[in-house]
Amino acid sequence: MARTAEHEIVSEEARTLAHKAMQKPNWRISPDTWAVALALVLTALVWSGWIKRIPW
Amino acid sequence: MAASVAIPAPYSDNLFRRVARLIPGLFLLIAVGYAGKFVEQSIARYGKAHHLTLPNIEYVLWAILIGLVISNTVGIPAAFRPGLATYEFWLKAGIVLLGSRFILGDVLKLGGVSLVLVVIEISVSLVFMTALGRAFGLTPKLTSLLAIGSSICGVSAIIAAEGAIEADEEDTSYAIAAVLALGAVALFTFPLIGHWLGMSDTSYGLWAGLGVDNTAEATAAGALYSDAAGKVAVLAKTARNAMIGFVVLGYAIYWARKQGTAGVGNKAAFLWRKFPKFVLGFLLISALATARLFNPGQITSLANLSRWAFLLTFAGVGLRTNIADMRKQGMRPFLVGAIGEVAVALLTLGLVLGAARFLQ
Repeated sequence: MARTAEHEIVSEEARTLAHKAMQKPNWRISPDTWAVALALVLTALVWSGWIKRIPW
Repeated sequence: MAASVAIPAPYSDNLFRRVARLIPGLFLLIAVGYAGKFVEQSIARYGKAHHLTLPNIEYVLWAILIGLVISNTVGIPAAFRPGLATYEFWLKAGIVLLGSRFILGDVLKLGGVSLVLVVIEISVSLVFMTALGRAFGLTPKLTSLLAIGSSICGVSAIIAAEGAIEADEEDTSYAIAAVLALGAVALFTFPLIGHWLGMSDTSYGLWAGLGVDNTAEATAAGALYSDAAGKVAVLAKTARNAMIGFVVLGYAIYWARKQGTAGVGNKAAFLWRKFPKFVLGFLLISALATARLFNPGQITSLANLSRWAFLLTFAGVGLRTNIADMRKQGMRPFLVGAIGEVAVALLTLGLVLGAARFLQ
């Protein structure tokens, strides 16, 4: 497909994200799932009393 | 003397190194986020000590502004970038933890209204963006990516669609750049318009969740208005994110037929792969809170954990926004995105104001 002038300059971050997306994922578990797992572990720690109080 | 032999480094990209690469950027996220919180508290303390009534500017705005200043003055060295990219990870963990502040009944009521509005918003914006892309002579796949990005959920939706429709890297990076640039604009314009119109927290939060593309910016735009609006924005955005799989599946089938390539195979597996898992985590924690599994102190702790996670996200939003990059972009796709965004923002504003009586 022909390149248009708009393709010439894009932000570095956008290019990096797009490049990463083109790579074959080498994660067995997606970062999305890791984030859920971390949240559930923290919830379990708070629920079980291992974490008493989180200040803000 | 034995000849030297180049030994490949088998552990060059092992888990330890991958984690180590995240550390500098993570520290920067923590430092910027905490600086935002520190500035907010310092101003409040100063006002109290000197009996002054100072405007209460939330840590959200300070964290974003400090990040913006760093990113656009000294810049972000390469060593910090892997860690900075984790702000999406903290966002998703924060959303799951935020589930503890929602009773499932509220989720179903607000989420139900949101879902109806989401379906209308997605349908109209997909059609509108596609027509706009054609009118401006953009390539069909760039048009598809911009339509998906602006109708559902910004960067995540574009990345989910990229592999499914076999778009190339240039189209993908351009669509991501346009969505990020427009998200940064929405971040500051939405709260101003919301205050100008005197919108309630619920209505504004719903509007931010429906109208702002990227999840991080939608969360920040909601939190900039008020804590309650931030909660609703996250819920509405989560309902929108839940639709990613269906829209991407539709586009994948369309492009496979158009190009005569292999289809998507098992559609249920495809939907599961593309479905944002944090939506399930959010619903699970909300169900546990509804079942009164947590006492009030624990709910406060979980809500505070969610705030800390969002703090890193807001710092990341500022740090990754580069105004010079935004200004360098070509005009046509940006114009298509901008016109589409304004149309979607107006449409969703009309929908939210129309649905206001169902939200009480």
